[in-house]
Amino acid sequence: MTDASLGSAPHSATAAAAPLLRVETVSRVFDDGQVHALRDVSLQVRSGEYLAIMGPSGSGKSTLLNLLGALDRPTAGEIYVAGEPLSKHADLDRLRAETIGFVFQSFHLLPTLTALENIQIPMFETARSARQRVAHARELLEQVGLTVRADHLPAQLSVGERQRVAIARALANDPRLLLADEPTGNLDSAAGAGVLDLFDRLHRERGLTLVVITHGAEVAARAERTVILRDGRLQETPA
Amino acid sequence: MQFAEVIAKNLLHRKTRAALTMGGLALAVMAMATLLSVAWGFANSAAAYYQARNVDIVAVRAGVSDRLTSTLRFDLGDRLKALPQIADVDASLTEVVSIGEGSLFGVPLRGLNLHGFAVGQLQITAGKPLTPEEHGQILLGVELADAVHKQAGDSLEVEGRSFTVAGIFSTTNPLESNSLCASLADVQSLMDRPQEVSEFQIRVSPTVRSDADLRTLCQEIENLRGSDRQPLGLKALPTRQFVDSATETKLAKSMAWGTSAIVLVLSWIGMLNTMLMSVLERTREIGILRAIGWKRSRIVRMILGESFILCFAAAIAGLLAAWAVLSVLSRWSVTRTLVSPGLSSTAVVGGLAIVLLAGGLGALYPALRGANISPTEALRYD
Amino acid sequence: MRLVTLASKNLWRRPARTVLTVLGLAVSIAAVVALVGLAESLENSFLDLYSRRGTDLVVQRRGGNVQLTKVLPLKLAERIRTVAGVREVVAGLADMIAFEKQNLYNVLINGWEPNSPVWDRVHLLSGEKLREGDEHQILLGRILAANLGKKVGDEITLYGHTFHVKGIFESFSVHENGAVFMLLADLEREIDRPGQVTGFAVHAIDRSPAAVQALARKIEALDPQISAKTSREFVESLSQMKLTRTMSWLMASIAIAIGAIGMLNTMAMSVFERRAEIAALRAIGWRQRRVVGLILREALIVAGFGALAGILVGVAAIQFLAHWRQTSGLVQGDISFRAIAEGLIIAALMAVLGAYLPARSAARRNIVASLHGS
Repeated sequence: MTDASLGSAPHSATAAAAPLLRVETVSRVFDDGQVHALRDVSLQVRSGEYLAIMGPSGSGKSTLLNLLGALDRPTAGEIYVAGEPLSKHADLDRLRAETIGFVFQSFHLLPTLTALENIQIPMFETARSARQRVAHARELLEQVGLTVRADHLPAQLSVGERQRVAIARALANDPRLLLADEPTGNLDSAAGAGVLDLFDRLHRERGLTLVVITHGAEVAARAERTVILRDGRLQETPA
Repeated sequence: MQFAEVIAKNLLHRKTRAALTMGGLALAVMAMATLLSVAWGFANSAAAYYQARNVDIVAVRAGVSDRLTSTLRFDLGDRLKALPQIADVDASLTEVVSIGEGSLFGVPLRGLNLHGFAVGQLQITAGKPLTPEEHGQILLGVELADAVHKQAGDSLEVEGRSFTVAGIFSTTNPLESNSLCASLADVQSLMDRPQEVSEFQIRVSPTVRSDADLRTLCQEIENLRGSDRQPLGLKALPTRQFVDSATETKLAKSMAWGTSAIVLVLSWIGMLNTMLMSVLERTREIGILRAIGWKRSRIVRMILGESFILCFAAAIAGLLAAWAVLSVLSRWSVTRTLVSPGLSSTAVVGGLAIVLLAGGLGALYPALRGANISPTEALRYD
Repeated sequence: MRLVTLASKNLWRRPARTVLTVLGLAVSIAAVVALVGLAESLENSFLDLYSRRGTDLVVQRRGGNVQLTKVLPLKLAERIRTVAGVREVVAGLADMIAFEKQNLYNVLINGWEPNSPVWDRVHLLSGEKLREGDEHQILLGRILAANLGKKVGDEITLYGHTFHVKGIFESFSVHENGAVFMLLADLEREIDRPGQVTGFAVHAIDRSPAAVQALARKIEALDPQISAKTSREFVESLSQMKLTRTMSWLMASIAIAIGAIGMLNTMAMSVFERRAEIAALRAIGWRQRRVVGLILREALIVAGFGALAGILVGVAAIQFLAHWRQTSGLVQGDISFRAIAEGLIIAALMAVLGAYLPARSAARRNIVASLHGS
């Protein structure tokens, strides 16, 4: 498959020079200081990089991902997306809709909508006609290899297929960054491998920046770089 | 832990839903209790007026739809007095008027026969009573006097004509204390109704003892004939019956029942919706209860119990709200002549009945549905 | 796919709840359409009675609210006829009677002069017209005659006296079809109002609004006790009309309030169940506004079906009352488009009010906490 068939060219060279994500001494405290989920975490992710964040349960992985995805705000420190500080960003909804794609462990597909319809959900935020939404959703479904499943409801799909629909949904608005929270956590190993193959291809062919949270070594093995979180502190492993 | 605690905790688990369901029901109870209280309160106040004057029978023109303002010739009273079973007859002319340059509408004005027995019942607390010699004098009920800020000696416009406030009378009857009185002659001339009265108040002699006697006498009055051998056209009714058949009473009662019917259906739908949702979302939970040995009947009792608590709380809240609304209405100038404070017993019974009926009927189907959840299927449910 | 498709699919996840909510709303809207429609139909048909007869002004005794007990001397008619601009004056005495055995209350009874033009404006179905000197004779309106089961020649008791039915007539107005007509002198004697009438219907030569207003002032100048109102002002000032309107709205608003709470309850339940799903929508970039928009659309779909069903039931209820014996003499059974429009607006308002608060709180809920199901 060529870049053209994926519908999106790699992002420009200027963006590649500056890091797409820059985390500067970020801390996140819950329950009025009772719980320190993250302590002075600093991290940079280049545009087009494939990063895995590993760590045991409760290490602060999900908290970090929520911060990267602009779902939550840090207690201290700053996060820059494409050079812009999130704390001064006027429209985080737009950022999530257009720049970031999310893949969840438990998919979060709408049970009443077919695969094709679920993929169109994020497109409501970008000006497209109903006809364009359907056409684009079909393209995405083809890319994740589920064209024949277009009119199936999530309950009629296997878990691996559900996650692939969720990935297609995450790609709906051509994001530069894909955040995945334990994307294989609910999948058997074969389905998990399928999802990781898809990630590889998206990274290679689209130049998509990927940040994946996991505690599985097989996921980390596919990434270009792996960082480990332990008790809210970051430990970078040699590449 | 008591069974009731399980029920209460189930309700508290979904506070918003419980509160909104209760709120809807409470509103229903409030509306119904308020309307019923107004309907019965009006009838009771009117009945109290006659009872205070020992009136046994009220006679009005036959066949009219609005009995409180019928028209009769004053001299028919002499025919009534001639009947041996009748001890005394008084007459009055009631009109509904506007007072104080149109600032208050719909105020009852009673033209009193100054030689009759009813006028003596007025307790004058300020000023002086009405006299046949002086014209253009009125007496104000104490609450009406407050509302228009008038005292004895002031002047007040009634239907565009100026009257002098002779005095203020005090009474515990809300209908009366928001009305005004003048001499029969003055009201007749004010309203261009010479020689007319709207009703006769009749006191019977001690020989009339039973209710049957009273009805016989009413029949006799209705059969009275004039010099032209035609019937006089009177309708005579024992006081309580007269009051209950007044247009105002009937209108208020039919409105109260009409509203109640709508409210009952709405409450039933609301309760059905809430309890059905509650059962559906607890399919798994109820299945587990069945699996660990709860009988179907206990599931039914649990769900009916939840509905009963909602209904009971709603009834209390609704009745309290109705009481508050009635207190406000009985002070508000537009409604004070019609509304007396306090809940009537019919209202309390009616309010409780509607909520229990709607609640019980609404919870029945969900309860049965809950009882039919099979333990195995529920556990497979995810 | 459109947002509205998503909204309707969401509703279909809980069909029982959706149907019950639609039903509840339908009852509220039916109450509004039936009660408010009834009050408006009553007012319009009463207004028709005057305007279609060409009545420009109604002259009555001055007073805060118009009542049947208030009367004017008949001889005033001669003085009104002399006012320049008056084409015709019809004097009438009206009263309300009840036939308690037949459960008919508020039956209108009219007394007209023997030479009144009114006699020629109704269509005689059977029997004969009343002539000067007829005593204890009446004409019955078509509906009243049917409801009482009376025909020409039958006896009937009014005010405790025996009358004979001389004829049965039909009019375009439901009020006259449900009424008793007799000679003015007869009615004056029955209710002891010698030489008195309830009011006069005045037909003007120049019927332009300005000329009619000027004529009203001239007639009022005749006597400080009288007021001259246009037909519309008169009908609106009738205390019965005001009472009917107030009572209708009072009963309707109780139904609206309970219906609105039901709507609120349903929408609150619905968004609470879906909080994780809504959080996921927010995470993939949906704005709060769009979440609110989705939930409002769901409520509006429910309200639309509720309004449709409610309007059908409300209109059917009015039709029923127009044919039911006790009310057929009062209810014309026409469909008030204003009442239907009011029903639709109220349904939409109930949807917006019921859905907005739950929708907004769902949209504003913390995304991270809701996503992970707490």
